[in-house]
Amino acid sequence: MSTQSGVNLDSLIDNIARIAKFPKEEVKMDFRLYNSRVVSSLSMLEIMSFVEKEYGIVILPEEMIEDNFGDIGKLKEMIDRKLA
Amino acid sequence: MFKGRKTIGNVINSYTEKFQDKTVLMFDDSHYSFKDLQKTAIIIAYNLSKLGIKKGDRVAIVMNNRVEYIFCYYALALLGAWVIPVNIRYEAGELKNVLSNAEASTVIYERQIDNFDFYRVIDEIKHELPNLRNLIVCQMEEQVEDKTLFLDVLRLKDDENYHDAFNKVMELEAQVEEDATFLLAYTSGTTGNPKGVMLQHDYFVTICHNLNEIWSGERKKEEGGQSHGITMSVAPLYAAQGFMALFIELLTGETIQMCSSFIPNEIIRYLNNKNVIAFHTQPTFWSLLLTVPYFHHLDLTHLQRCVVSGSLCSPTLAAKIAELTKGIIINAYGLVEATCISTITRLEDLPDITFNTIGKPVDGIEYKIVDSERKEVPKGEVGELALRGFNMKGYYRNPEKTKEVIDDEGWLYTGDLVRMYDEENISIVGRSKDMVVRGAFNVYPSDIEECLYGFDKIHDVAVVGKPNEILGESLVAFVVPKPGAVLKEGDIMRFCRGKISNYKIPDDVVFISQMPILESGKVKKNVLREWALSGTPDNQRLFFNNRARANFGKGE
Repeated sequence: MSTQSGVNLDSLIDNIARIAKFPKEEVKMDFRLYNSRVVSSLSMLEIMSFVEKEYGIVILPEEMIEDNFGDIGKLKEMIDRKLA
Repeated sequence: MFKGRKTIGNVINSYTEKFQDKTVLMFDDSHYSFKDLQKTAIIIAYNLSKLGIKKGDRVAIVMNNRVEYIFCYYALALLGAWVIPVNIRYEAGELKNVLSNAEASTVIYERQIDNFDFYRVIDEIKHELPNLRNLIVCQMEEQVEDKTLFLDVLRLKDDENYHDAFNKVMELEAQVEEDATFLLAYTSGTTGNPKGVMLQHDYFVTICHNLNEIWSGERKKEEGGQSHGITMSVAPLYAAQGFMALFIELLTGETIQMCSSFIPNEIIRYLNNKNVIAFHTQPTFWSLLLTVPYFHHLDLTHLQRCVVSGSLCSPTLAAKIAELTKGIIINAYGLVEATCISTITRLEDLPDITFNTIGKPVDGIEYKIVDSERKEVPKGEVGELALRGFNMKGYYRNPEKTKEVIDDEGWLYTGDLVRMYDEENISIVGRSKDMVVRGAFNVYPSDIEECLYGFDKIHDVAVVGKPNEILGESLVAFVVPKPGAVLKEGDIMRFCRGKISNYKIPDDVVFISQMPILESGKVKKNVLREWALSGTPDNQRLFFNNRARANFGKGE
């Protein structure tokens, strides 16, 4: 589990690709998460659950918004802020 | 039990006459009384009838959860049209297959859902749908020649009056037969031969009333006795769990809260309403909510009952839900072919029954447990569950498939393996039909296999399910590549994308040198399930790269 050392981007992308069932090589920082057809609402909850466990952070329900979960880049920024 | 004519339109009309201003529907933050609901449904029905939509017409709805969906259900019931609730996760090919099989005359749809452009997709496929006459589009204001705006269906013209519209629609509703088809729900075969289940008005009404009596508990049983609580449902309105939860409340004069969003923040906000006394959702959603740390700090003790259905609820999960909510768990089982809910645990059942069984049949339903020759098994033995009582009229335009599952005496063979837990309650032990329940969705491996047979690098493929803590089951595809072909897991996913719904794309792919088969040539799926669970034997696996070969035998 990654903690204070920051986000392991490879692992983040790996796991999101697995949950979204997308070829890993096609998942980039602008890969859409929130309101995305590829990532269902159930998959969003899976992603949230993975991020909390992997990085030891708590995501409040009101933080599940476009600004934090819009794409992988925004998600990484949110995790970085919480780990800082 | 409702004493009047058992059509969906008539039942809701009757409750409207009785309850008028009582809130029947809470959708997001908006409240609608019976009168509000009826008025909008009447206007929609009137306008749809002017477009030529009539009794028996097949009308597809392609919408996310929105209040307009519910208005449309009611409006189409009033007209006696058949409603086709369409899975919004379908890709273009799947959508075309379903609309074509249904001979849909009308599609009511959102132009875009989650970045998927249904407007463009339907324009592309409409020329292959000869029965299609009406395209009614939501989220659009500009007039387009071959389309009707849903906005226009929601209002009367200046020279029209509600009184005339009301009388016209009531005249049409009076002609709807109780045993007419109300819903045409597609369960499988969306890539090949779709199976559309025809469900009739009176069975919906009766089952909903019987269910409501089961969990009305302390409420007055005489007709008109109502609770003062709200039932909340989290499920898509196109899915059986969503529309059944809706109809159980609508058809019994109660109040339901539904949401357009499945984001925890929103769900929790409504769940926190102390007037919500019942919560319906599927086990997967519960599993995910329980992983949210914040959720465990909520006070949910106002929930008196939690109805869990859609897939099997494990004893562990049921116990966690009971612990958190202090409410009574109700486990429900059913299949669309039997009008959705057939057995259910009761309020007074002890935890042992609730956590380990699917309860006993709803009033009016008979059951038996049979062997592979459809003869009843001795008491206590495992066999296939067969049901009779509120079964479908059949698969639309598919009498052969109907005959395979419903015999001449009206018994529906479910494909689920069960045994008696005690004298009255039934336990599920497995499945004889080839189906995987992944999250909230029934997935038929044949849909995926049929898709992948179209991949020119694949020689053979078989898909099975394996247990998954959150989803219930996940999908594993075993692939035998053609000689010389080199494949990666990503290639399989890339091929499936756009051809089948995302939830059907395999979660894991295992490349093997040959498929285990029976003498008959059929794939030994029980062997594959075992491999999915315990690992594929090394001598069966195929490796395409040096790293994999180097790690051969090292457990990677």
